[in-house]
Amino acid sequence: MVDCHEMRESMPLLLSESLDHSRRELTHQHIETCAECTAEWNAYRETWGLLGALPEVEVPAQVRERFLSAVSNPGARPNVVSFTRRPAMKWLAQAAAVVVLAGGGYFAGHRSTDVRPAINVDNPLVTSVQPSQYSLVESRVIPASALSPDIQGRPNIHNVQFTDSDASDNKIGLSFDVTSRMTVTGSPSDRSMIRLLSYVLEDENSDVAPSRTQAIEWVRKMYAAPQHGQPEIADALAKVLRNDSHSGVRISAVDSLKTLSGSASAETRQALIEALKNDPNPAVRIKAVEALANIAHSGTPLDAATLDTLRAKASQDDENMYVRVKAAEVLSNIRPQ
Amino acid sequence: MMIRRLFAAGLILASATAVRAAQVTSNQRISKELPMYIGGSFVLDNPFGDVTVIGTDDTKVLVIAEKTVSALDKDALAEGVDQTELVVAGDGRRRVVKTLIPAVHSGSWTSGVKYTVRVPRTVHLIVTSGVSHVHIIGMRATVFVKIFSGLVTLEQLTGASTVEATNASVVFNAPDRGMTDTVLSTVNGNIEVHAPSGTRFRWEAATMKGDMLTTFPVHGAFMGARFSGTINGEGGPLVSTRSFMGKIVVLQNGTSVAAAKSVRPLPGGPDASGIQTVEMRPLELLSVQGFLRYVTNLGNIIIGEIHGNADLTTGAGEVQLGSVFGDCSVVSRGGPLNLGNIIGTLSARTEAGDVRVQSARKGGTIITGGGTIRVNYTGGDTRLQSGGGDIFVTHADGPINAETQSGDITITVDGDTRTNKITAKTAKGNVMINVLATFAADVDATVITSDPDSNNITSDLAGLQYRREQIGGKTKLRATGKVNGGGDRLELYAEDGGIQISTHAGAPPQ
Repeated sequence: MVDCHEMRESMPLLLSESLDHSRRELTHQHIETCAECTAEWNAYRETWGLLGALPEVEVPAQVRERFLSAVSNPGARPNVVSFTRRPAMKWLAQAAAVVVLAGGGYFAGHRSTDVRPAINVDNPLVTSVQPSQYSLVESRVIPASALSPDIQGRPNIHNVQFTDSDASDNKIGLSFDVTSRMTVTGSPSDRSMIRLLSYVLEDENSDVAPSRTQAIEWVRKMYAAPQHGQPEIADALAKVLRNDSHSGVRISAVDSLKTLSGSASAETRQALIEALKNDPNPAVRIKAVEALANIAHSGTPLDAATLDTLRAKASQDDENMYVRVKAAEVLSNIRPQ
Repeated sequence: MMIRRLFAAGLILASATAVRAAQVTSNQRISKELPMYIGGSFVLDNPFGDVTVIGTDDTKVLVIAEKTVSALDKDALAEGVDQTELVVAGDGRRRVVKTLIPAVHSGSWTSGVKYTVRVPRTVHLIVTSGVSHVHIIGMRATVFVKIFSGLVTLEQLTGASTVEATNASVVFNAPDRGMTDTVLSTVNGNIEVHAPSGTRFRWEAATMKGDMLTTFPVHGAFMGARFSGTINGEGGPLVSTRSFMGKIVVLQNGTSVAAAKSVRPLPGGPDASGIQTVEMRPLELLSVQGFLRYVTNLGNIIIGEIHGNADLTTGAGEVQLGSVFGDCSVVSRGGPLNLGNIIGTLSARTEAGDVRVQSARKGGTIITGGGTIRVNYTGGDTRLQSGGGDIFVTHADGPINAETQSGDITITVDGDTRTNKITAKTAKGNVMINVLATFAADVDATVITSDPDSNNITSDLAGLQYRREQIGGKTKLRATGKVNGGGDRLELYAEDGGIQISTHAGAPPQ
């Protein structure tokens, strides 16, 4: 009797083409005979169907060179697919578009060198991807010679276009989206993970389940402990605070910055000052003052411009009284260095 | 006088601490005499150290600077001496004297410069300082002082004077004759004005936390928080005094603060029904028996239990209540509300800040001008409104009307509720409703979005009909229908977001 739970755990790896041949076949066979797992599998695939919703971004020249150099390495036979995008954007789709983990599971699963993620059985949330690092970019051009002729699994291919831009060069092109769900796991301090989270946080249009507000709270809980403080996360939240048009999200971002204030950079402090000056939502302004208070309390001196802003706020007649009181309280606790 | 004594004590204490910590000290005295036009301007910027400026009838400036550096060892001392620079710039029309100390430097030394400046009394004077006692005497032209903390004393000034202080207090001793307009403001300090008894002037005062006191006979009135009055008759120069958190005192020469009376109306005492009314201070109580009414213009209200109805108002402050066994009305002009178990009907309003309610047994009204609203349980008809912020209701056991200008709305209908009238509208965000699979309702869900391909209404409940139309460049998605045979109206509206109706098995998530 095959364990449905085990099969479902294999589904993400199946989608990312990271299962070995025997397990892949076993999983497919089970899915075809188990109604519940079929539904689960369809749900996975449907979710992955949203993956193509990626922003149009130029491939950075450096990344492209590095990537092409990697796939041209005769020691490896990577199977690489390109992503093009559709207008709507989705949470993990964007995540997958940015992070420097590239190639992702699909690519990793087809390298002759075994770089498949090693599942940590003690903690299935932690997957290590070794030894190579890949840049996951939104769209890439891969020479067919670098692609494995062995298409494994059943990847969903969408948005296919045949091209022959130059009839005389004896080359044709095939563009398509491969939609398969990707799960990126790693330590919260992993640079790629931080960048991935930062990217998703900063994108106002990302479709995050259950909501962006709750995703930010999750990030706050994850990085609140001083030993886990990451300035890059704080900077991403600062960008949310500056740019997001959704009040609830900005409130959540500035609330998180209050707890992450120990790792606040100059950019974060500047975002807090701007929020205090200009944010139309008084709750954001209140929390910006509190975050600045925490920064001062942590021993980071506030510069003259910040002190001027706080003074102006405390003296501003048409400001909410609680914001003024909080600004005055912060100032009263500051001892010049 | 009280301010001066406190400041002097502070300086002595600070100096004593510094001397104990320091091993070596350097004192340098620098004197410079510079020509100065009598109509020019003189600027002095000194981050640490006292400043005394005396107006004279000369046509030159005499600057005496005493530079003091204290350090843990000789090397640090040399560094401190080297990095504490005195700069003199400008010409006779505009003279600038500035102390330069790096904002970030080794913590092994501290430095400050004490200035005594004799300047033509007709020059315009600007003094900026971080921490010091700034003392200015006998000037006739304009004087502007900006200071972070310490004390400013202005004496015998007959030109317009302006002080912008943050944590510093201000003492203004008016001249015997020729007082002109004066603006004295501080955030956290106090202000004292002394004037001859016969001086005629207009007085404006504003303070949020402190009081406004005088020994002069004064005629005036309040306009909001600002007092405006006249002393010794109509007209005369304007003395504007603003201390946000401190006290303002205007005294006749020869009188003391103890003799001064507040210009505020007397606070109200208990009214005829015995209801408690108090003003001007925060309130912290463990338990109250019976009806409590409390009004404060500034301060937090923190009460464990109220065994009766509650009517609480704060001009600015946080309100925390444990349990209220009757009806509860809470109003804050700004500040978060954190309310526990409210047995009666709740009315909670804040102009700014989050609102958290553990339990509103009979429902009520919860409004914030901006902030997140979180209600764990509501057992009656409940209206929730945020000027911007998310709204969460974890257990809704009564009709809900939730609206936010920008934010998500998440409502979980209690497990045993089979139908419930719910209205949830957000002008920017998502609406997420979680109900039993058997929940019955007449659903009317609308999403307005700029994404023409959007399909942002999802429902676990079958029986909805979906429509899509273009209106003014936007896409309107609408889902209507009876679910589980129909029931109370479930009206949902989201702009630039989506609507999700999901189901739970029974007991709602905690």
